[in-house]
Amino acid sequence: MGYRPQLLEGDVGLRRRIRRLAAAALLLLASAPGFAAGSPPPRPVEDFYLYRPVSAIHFTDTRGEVHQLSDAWKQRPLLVALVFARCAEICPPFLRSFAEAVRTVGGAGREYDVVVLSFDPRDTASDMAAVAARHGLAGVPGWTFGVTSAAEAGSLARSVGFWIRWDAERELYDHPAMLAAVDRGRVVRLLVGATVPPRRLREVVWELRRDLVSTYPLPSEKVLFRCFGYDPRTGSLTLEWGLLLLLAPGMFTVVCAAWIFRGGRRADLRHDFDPKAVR
Amino acid sequence: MAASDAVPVSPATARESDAEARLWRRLTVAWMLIVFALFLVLLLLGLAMRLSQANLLQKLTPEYFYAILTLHGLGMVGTWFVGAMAGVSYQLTRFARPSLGVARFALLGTLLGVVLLIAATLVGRFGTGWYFLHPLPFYSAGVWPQWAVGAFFAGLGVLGVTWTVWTLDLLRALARRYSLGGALAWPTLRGRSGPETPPFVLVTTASLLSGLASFAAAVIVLVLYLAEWLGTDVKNDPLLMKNLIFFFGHGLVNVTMYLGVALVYDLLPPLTGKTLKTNRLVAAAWNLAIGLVLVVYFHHLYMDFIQPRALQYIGQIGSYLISIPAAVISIFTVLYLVYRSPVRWNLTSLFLYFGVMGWAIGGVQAVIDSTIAANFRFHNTLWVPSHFHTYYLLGVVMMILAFASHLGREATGVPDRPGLARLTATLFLLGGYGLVVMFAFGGAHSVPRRYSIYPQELAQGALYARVSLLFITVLVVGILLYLWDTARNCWKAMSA
Repeated sequence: MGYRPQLLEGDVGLRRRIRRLAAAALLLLASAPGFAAGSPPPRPVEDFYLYRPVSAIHFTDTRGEVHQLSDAWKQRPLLVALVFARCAEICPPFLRSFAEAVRTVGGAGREYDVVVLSFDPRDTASDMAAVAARHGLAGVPGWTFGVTSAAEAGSLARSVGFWIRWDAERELYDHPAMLAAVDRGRVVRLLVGATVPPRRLREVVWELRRDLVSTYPLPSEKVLFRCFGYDPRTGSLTLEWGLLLLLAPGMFTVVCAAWIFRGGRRADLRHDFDPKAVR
Repeated sequence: MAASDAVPVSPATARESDAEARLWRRLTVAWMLIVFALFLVLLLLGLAMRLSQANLLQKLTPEYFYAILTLHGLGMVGTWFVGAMAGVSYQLTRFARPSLGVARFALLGTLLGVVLLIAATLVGRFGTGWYFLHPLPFYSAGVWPQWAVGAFFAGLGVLGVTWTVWTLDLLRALARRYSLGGALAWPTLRGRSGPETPPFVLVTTASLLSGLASFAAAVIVLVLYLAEWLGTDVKNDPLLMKNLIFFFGHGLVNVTMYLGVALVYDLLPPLTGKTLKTNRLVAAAWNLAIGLVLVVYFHHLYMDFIQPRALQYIGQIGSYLISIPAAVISIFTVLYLVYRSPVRWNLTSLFLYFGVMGWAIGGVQAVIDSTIAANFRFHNTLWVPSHFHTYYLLGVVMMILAFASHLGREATGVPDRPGLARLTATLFLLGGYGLVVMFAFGGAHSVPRRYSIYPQELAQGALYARVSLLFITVLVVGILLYLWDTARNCWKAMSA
């Protein structure tokens, strides 16, 4: 499994480049049911999967019980992650970061559930139980680990923009680190990257609660003026210096009017207009 | 507006001499002829877009459609703004003394700006729409070259500077005659006796002050765009840019309409045999309008979820309130003026009267669209062009055409032709209302605006476009009849 550079917040330039490759990515995903070897596919692009239906696959949890993903999302919104138990590279740090972010944000088991599935057909339920235990997540409310068939894993992966490629040389799967937020069977958000920042996860949870997330991507971190700032911890807006620019036209008008009309008071008193007095 | 049945008394003339009066008239007539020419060209561009949407002009590629859309929108707003300013400047010479030199500078600056905009759009295919929302000008997808971006912003810059200077000069002229309070009828507002503020002066002052704010917003936008376009690391916040752009754009349209109303207040009373005076209600309403123009543009950002909710509410409340001074008072004033009056129904009075009524109808549509719950349905549908064509084409455009007709007759002494006037007004109104009703039907059926060609799923959009072509034909005949009468008079006045 190869490491994929994390998509940093605010790295819109990178996002833009990714979007330019989006058409190619879609073609690649559409034509790669077996995830054939070749150049690595680009990272999943959220824009192309938003509000798309998620494949309602069956999976077996660590207690051996069979579930359907659609039954799970009928209960609560889901955060879905695809990993594999033998992964020695990106999966462990991703799961560690994911678990930490969930602990920080809270709400698992009440506002949403987390489903971590293996896409490796070699993995068993006990393998995934071991993964859960390794990260201190065994029996934690709201967390479910499980396995599914290769075909169903592929179906789920395609529906959320995840890709899997077998690296024969290293005998590992190459894949991105990603979690999908699913509400009523549709993709609501994709978070891509080995690290799951709590502030990003908090926004995802707000979206799953259908609360307004008052933020949007900026073209650069070097934005000259903003009207409103955004506090990712509380989700509240604060006034910024750019707001002065919205007030400036009004202030300019007041100043101009005061300057132009200075000393015009006396002329008012005349009822008849004398053109010679004008100039 | 209080009205009395007294015979109107002309204000003392401010014109220094007959020679200066002739110069003003020639300049204003030149403005009107330029406005007519631009109107015809921009009208044909509008026709081309409707033909494309009706699937009858398939040679019009989408990139040209959007370039034309940009020029049509910006051009029509700009053309009628300068038409209104020219008309108001001319009428203002009866009360104050604007600078003839600045007026000439405004003409030349406007022509230069128009040339740059035409080059950017028709040659360079710059097609962001008039609103040039950030960061679209920088992402042409290979459609328009960099020079087109430069020409577009240079054109806007030239127009912005020119019109700001023009506005400042008219305010300067008013300031020689009135104090700020006097021009805005503050003594009347406070119930004090004192020198009277003519309604024309009150509305003109309020409009010009609002215009200054709009131009200041435009200057800020252009500077921010320039900083980014010059390749600095600095980027702009799209939300801030959108706020500023609609501050400017909405304000400019508002000001144009108010200037048109100022012309109505000045031209209609003599044709009805009544005079108008500013009372406390009118003074309050127009003073309120100055402040409201600064905030009503928020209704353009309802779909921007990031905009704080308080501003959205201000946008809706402001939009409701601004209809009081602008529409309600003016409508009742005009109805009072014509009620049981020996109105001389010529081209001027017909166009002034129906212009105010068209403004009212378009205003009602606009108030509906400014209601957040309704905007949720109507946003970016053909409802929007329906309402702005109603209050523009059938509102302020008619008011300015009325002024031009008045000017042509005043300059040449050609008598009224009531029959021709009625026929012209009938065709104009029939064609115009047919055009906007087709837009409204499209909006009611959720047909989106700004589509160059309607896909199969929106086939009714093409149907409405085809039907509207019939009405556009009638409208064009009405306009040609108008021009045959008025443009000839203006031409004669130029060569006199």
